[in-house]
Amino acid sequence: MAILASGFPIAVAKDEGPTLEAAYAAHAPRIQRFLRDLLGDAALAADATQETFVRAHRRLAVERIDAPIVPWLFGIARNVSLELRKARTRGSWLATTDTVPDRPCPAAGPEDQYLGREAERVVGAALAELPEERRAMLLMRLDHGLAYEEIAAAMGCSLAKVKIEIFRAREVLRTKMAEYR
Amino acid sequence: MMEDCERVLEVEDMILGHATAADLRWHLVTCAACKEAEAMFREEHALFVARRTPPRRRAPVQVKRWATLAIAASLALASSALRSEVTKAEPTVLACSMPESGEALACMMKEPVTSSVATP
Repeated sequence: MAILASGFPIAVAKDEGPTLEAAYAAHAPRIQRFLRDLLGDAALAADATQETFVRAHRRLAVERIDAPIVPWLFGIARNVSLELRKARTRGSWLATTDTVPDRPCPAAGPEDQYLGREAERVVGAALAELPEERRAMLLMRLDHGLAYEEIAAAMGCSLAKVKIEIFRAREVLRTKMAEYR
Repeated sequence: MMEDCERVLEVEDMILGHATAADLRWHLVTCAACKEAEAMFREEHALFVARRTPPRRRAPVQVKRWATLAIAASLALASSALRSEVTKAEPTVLACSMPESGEALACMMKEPVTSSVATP
C-alpha cells in the first residue's frame, strides 16, 4: 500500500480506536480552513468539519478503507461542502474575513498581520472567481500541500484533469497577484 | 510554464515537502524552466501561508490592561461611595494595583481615619 507524505493509511484507523481521534486532533484545523475557503463562512465551516469527522467515523465503523487518510478526509469534506452549498439559499460566494486561526500566532507582529490581510485579499479575490471544483483543487494543492495523486483520489477524477484544473486556477491566481502589484 | 520541462511537478512537490530527490537541486541549476516554475510556485505558496496569520480580533494587551484598570477603578469608587453613605466620609481610593494577566484583581481601599471618629 502506498502511503503518501500526508498521512497514515486509514486501515490503521479502523483497527485502532483512538486513531481517528488522533486524526481529528491533527487534521481538523486544516479541514476547517479548507471548508471555510470553500463555503466562505467560518461558522458553517465549523459545523461542516464536525459533519466530516462524523461521516468518517461512520464509514470506518462499517468498512475497511485502504487509502491515505488526508485525501480521504478532504474528499468527505468536499462532499459535505457541496451538500451544504446546495442546501443553502442561493447567493454569490463571498470571501469572508471572519477568519478563525488554525494555529496560534503569538509572534504575529503588525507587519505579519498586514501581510496576512493582503494575502487573504488576493487569495480571496482569486478563489471567488473560480468554479467550486477548481477552487477545491487549488486549495488542496497550494494551501494544504497535497500531491496531485492525492487530489485526484480526493476529488474522484483523473490525474490529468487535476493537473489541468490546477494549472488554470493558478493562472487566475497569478492574474490577481499581478493586479495587486 | 507547465509543459516546458517534465520535472516541473517534481519541483512543486519538493517545495511542498513530497519529494526529497537530491538530484532535483542539480536539475534546478541547469533547467531554466524549472527554476522559473520554482520561483512562481514558491511565491504562490507563500501567499497561502501568509494568510494563515489572521488579523488580531482581540484588543491589544495594553488596551485590555487599561480597560480592566478603568473598570476596577470605577468599581472601587462605587464601593467606596456606598461605604461613605454609611460612614458619611469622603471616599478615598488609596491604591489600585495594575492587574496582570492571570492574576486576581487586587484593589486596596482604605477609609479615612476621620470617618470612624466623625460619626456620632
